[in-house]
Amino acid sequence: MDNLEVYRVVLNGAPYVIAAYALIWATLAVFVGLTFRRLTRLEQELAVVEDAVERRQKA
Amino acid sequence: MARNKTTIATLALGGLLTTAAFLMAFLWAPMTDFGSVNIGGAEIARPDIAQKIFYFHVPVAEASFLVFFFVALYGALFLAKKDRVYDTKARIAAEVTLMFVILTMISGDLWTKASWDTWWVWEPRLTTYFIMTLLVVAYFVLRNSIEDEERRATYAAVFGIVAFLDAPLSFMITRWYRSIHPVVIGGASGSWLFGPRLVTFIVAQVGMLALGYAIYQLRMREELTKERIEAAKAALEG
Repeated sequence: MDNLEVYRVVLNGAPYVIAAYALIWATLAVFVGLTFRRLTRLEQELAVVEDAVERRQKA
Repeated sequence: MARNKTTIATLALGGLLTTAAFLMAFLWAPMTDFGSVNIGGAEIARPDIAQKIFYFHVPVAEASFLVFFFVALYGALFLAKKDRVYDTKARIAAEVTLMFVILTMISGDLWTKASWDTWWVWEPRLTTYFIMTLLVVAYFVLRNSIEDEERRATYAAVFGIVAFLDAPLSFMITRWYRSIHPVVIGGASGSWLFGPRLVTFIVAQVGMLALGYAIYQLRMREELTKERIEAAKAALEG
């Protein structure tokens, strides 16, 4: 029995374990990353719009 | 700003704890056995590596139940106070619930395949959790099908409260009916959950809840920023 066969018999669930952990981590990381990107863009937009409001009020 | 710092700190804590739990699960928590295997004439215990999915699958599932509770809670608060902010909070909580529910379904399915050699079994826990997944999806379908804001918020609140009833049912059903799904927390299948395994599970659970809370706060901040932009634009046009 070669090593690969031993791994297949003993650690037969390994690919599923790796897939489960990778998927959970990747999903959370992508969700947080996308939210941060949108938030940064929105905050920049808010700063521009609020600045315009302030300038109009002063004028 | 202080609120922002709290969110970032919670996010960092969640990331740190889940990473620590991942390392603890594979390097510290002892492996459980799953029968034995004959290698070269010697009978050796077969390590159940699929059980390692437990350390992330269960915290994600528990987080989905808890966040779903907030969908119902904010729905009830909206119905009681008619304040739109509770509708927004319920919607964001439902979004986070959906994310956790999908992760639970997929990680659970991978565990099912690894342990039971099948992708799906119509047993009580899987079935009631599948219904919960459909209910969370239906929550968004309902929201998107109603144009009037007041009616949409009211219907979604009522639906969220009724839909949440499936969560305790799904949690408890394996305790009421004997099934193939293990009952680890407070059940007979949890005899291996002590010492390093228990500590690893708690670290993963706290980490996942911290991540859930931080994601909820980030999404709420996004929604509130959108509202401020709309208000500022209205002031410019007015």
